[in-house]
Amino acid sequence: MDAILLQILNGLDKGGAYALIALGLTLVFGTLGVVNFAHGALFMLGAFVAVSVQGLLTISKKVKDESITFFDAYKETPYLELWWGDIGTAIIDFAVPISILVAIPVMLLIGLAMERGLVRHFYKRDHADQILVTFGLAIVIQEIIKANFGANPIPTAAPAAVAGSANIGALFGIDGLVYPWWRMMYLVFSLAIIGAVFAFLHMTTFGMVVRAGMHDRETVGLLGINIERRFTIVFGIAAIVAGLAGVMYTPILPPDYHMGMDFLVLSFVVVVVGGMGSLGGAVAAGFLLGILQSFASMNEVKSILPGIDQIIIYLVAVIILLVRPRGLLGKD
Amino acid sequence: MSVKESSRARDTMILAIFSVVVLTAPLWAKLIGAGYPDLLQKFAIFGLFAIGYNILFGLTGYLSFGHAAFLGIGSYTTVWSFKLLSMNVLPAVFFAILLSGLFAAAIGFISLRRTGIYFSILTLAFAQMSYNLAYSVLTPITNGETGLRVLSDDPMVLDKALGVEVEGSPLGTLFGLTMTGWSAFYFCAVVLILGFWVSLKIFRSPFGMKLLAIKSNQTRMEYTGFNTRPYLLSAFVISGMYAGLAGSLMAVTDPLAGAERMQWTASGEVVLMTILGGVGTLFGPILGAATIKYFEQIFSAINDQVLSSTFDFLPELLNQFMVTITSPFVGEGWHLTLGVLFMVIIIFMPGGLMEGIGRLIRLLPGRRGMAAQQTQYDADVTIEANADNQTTTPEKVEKGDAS
Amino acid sequence: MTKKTISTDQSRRDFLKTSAATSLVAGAPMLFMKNAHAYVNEPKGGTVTLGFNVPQTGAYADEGADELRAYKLAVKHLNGEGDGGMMNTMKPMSLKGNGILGKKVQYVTGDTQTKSDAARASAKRMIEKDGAIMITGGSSSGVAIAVQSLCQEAGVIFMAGLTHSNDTTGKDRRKHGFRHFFNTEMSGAALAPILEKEFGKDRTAYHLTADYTWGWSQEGSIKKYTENLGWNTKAAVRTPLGAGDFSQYITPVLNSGADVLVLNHYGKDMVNSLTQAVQFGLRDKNVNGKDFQIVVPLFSRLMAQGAGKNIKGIYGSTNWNWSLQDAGSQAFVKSFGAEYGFPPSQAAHTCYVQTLLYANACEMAGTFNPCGVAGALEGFKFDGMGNGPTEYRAEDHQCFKDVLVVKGNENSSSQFDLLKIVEVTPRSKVEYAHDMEGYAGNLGSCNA
Repeated sequence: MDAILLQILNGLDKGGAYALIALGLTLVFGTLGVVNFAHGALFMLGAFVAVSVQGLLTISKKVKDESITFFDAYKETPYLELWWGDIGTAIIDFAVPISILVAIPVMLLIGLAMERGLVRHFYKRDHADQILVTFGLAIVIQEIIKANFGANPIPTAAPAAVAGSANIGALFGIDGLVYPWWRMMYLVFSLAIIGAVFAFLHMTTFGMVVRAGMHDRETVGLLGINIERRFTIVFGIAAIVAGLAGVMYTPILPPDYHMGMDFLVLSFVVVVVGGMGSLGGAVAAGFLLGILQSFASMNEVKSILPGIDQIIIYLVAVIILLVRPRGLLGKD
Repeated sequence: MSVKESSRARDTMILAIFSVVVLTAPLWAKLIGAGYPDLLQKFAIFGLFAIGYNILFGLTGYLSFGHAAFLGIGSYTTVWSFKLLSMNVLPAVFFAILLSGLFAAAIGFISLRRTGIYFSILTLAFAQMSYNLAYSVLTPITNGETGLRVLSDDPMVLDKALGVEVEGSPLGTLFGLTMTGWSAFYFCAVVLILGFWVSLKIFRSPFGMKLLAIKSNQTRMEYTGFNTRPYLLSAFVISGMYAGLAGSLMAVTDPLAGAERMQWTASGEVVLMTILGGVGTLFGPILGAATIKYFEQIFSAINDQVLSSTFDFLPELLNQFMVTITSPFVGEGWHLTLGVLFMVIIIFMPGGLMEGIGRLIRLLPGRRGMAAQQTQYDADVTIEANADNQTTTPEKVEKGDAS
Repeated sequence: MTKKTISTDQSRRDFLKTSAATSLVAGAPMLFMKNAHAYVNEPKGGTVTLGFNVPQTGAYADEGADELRAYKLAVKHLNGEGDGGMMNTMKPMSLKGNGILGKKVQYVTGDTQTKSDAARASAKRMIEKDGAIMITGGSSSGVAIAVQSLCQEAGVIFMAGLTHSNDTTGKDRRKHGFRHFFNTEMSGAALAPILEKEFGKDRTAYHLTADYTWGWSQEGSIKKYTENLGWNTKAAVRTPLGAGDFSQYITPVLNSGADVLVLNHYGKDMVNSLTQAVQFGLRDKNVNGKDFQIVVPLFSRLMAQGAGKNIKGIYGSTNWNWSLQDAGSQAFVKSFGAEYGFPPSQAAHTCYVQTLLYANACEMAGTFNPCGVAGALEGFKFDGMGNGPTEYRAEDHQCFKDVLVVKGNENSSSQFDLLKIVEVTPRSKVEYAHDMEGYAGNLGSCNA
């Protein structure tokens, strides 16, 4: 029983992450009609905002290790700790949450620059061109990060208070139900972000205009509304969402320059299974795939169907797309 | 001379020029540092892969993200044919094309029920499943990470029956001619020319015309009572067979088959090759394939040592400066250059490299030469294809509501 | 029907013949001429070219970069530049500091992308275009095995870089391939006594294993040695390579009754699975009245950095660490540190040593002919290269030497001081028969 509960919880947790990672992609496709292969790169850039913030906070006083003479080895003590003692340590400890605040303006700027500088010129080009140009951009971004941060993963821990596990079973009198704090926070965080984006598109005038513009850009333009600028902002929001997904993911997966590519295919599968451009679909597909993947990885399942955990996501994608031509919640 | 005859004469001319260019590759490729067997084999093999892919993508507009699966199936079949039957490449190539065709028929039958990006994801899903399984649980068939190789104690029943003995590490043969080095290149080159010829014929045939019609407006075709599915499926199977053939040649020139040939990055690579060269053009895909392989091999091999000797003619300080500013783009930075190249080409030449060449030709005064005419002709195709793209429906996914 | 023989030897000759024939037809001068050369890429003139084939892109790019640094350093030392590094400590040594056999050493580089196909293509370029006489490098067993068999066919020597799977010198061993790095069998043999000492004989292990040949190889070795101690194996679960998030495999560990988690992962997978296992509170758990433990059988310092403080106190094995105090290690760390400003990784060490060993074997044999070089390396006993007395076993071309058991350092004195050496397990404890079951292979014959 506790094993089943754990896998369900794990599935929800994975699902929340998948949905959040895919959200920006579906937003850009749904509103702008652009297949953005650089979405993974935005996710990765978000993670590296956290790495950079952590790096800045931990700028250290270096005390040379005198026992080593062949090269410079240091024992590092961050200045923040030296200056402010425990308060400094606490600030460093909160590097990832602080990064969330930093990531919002940084990712917005990156998103706006990307849209104005490049993506905008590709609205009217076909998908193949969009794929090539955004893929090229993704490679360039990735290589720049590699040149600056190396190829190895960089540890970026969650605050100590939430780095460990919570005994949530104790609340319900079930033994052995423990789950990491941070992962539960990721789930809540992703639901909040998804809700916010949804509300933004459906409950604000801005969102209404954007949705109208999606249907008929010209008419909206004739009404004297600057739809171009709104599309730019939508792209910026998508970049923020992708970036925040990346920041929040760093304690789970130490970031490296390639992590965007690793998640690119997955996020496309989630978006398409949900129905291209449907926010609700992406969320539903994220949770569905997360839970199924979690269960497919159980020994009991694997012993009956060897290798099922390797293909479950793709298998589900195939089945869903055959049953529902436009994905879970896509419209014809 | 009738129109038909003149176009046929022009096609013969194209084929003749193409053959000459391919067969003399060992001569001219030396000028760009690519004149060694392995890279030229790769040019031919990936050229073939891209030509085949172009028959599907270029003509029908269906963007498959899973063609690497057929490449892998071709390779595995070839190595198994070597292991079980004979080191002769003909049965190996035959079975590879056959089996990849069968797989393509099955996968195509299912995937073609959907259009646009839904089709793309279906093909991607099948390829990724093949890759993941080949890497892990199918290891008894694929030898997993290490890759499937021919061992000297394999059965090779046909060879045994005919009394051909194999010692050491076996290599593919064509009736006694060993498939390695230049002989392997010429074998690939001949296959490439054949493949090009078939593709040319398809482009010019009523079948090809129908595919283009599907690309420009599938719905309208269907309203007129025209059943598009058999045509699409044929195109899918043909391109799958090309991929299988390419995979087979990879195993022929180097008897090893690895699962990573099926990974999505490999499927993505052929998409990039085709777009980079020019979708829907005859030569574009080959050019795109060669460009990417050239970068992978030649640019990645340039290190500081090579750079500083390249800029040797400059004064010391300038030499160092040049080395410093160029080194991020070569060697381990070859990916960066490739990324920049993708962006620059697609931004400035929407039709890929072929459009660029077409423009250059038009700039030439008195473009009368054979080569000019031929390239011009191909460039025209590019432009037509692009014109088509503007109105393409199948690959334009209906944008769902953001709800 | 005439009886045809396709031997490797003949195929190579065919290859040369065809090359020659084609070159006549095409009118282009070819790289290899049968008559002029006794073996592939015989160095003519004053230089000899080595091929360094390392991952420059992908997950192991940093490891590849470090390997390349080591190679460049080795070339310097061979050519008599720099401080000579291990050439001051290696014994017996025939190197003179004037290149190899009097020829100045040059090198070419290439990107394996940690993919067999790309690695072979790159190695072929080095052999066919650049005239490399020896290929070395790599950061994974799949690549090493693929390139090793290529070198056998092409008739050049392959000096393996970082490859840990038994198969490289086990069932896939080749006459032309040599491995200095240790393997999973040695990791198991070296770790087991320490695990017994630290965790006792009564333990229940749970394996998470990367689902490919290296992972299985390591899982098999660790299982074998720990079960000999009396440990139980609760489950051995295969995880997809590059899974990223391993949480769905970790949750079943929580209440499985196991009290040791063995992570048969390397590189990024290791960093991720370890980070996540710690996050799930495994290390704070108490099962069966014992503290829960995590073991990572193959450690690398470069990768340990990625796991941050999660690595502290975790046991594993490694081929070499820069903190070793023997003269050879010190000499190498000193010249590497002076050149690049930081210590070398174990990958850099094995690559450096391999290059020197190859060069030394050429000097011993008095030729670059791969048959002669292989002969000189087989059974070669040496010391002063950082691992104590070492022998290249003739039967399988595997180096036998001491193995380091290490632990994530809980009190590091610097940013590089991540691994603490717990034990140097002597060679005699990790040695096994070359024809052991599941390990036996056929070297084949020399191809020149």
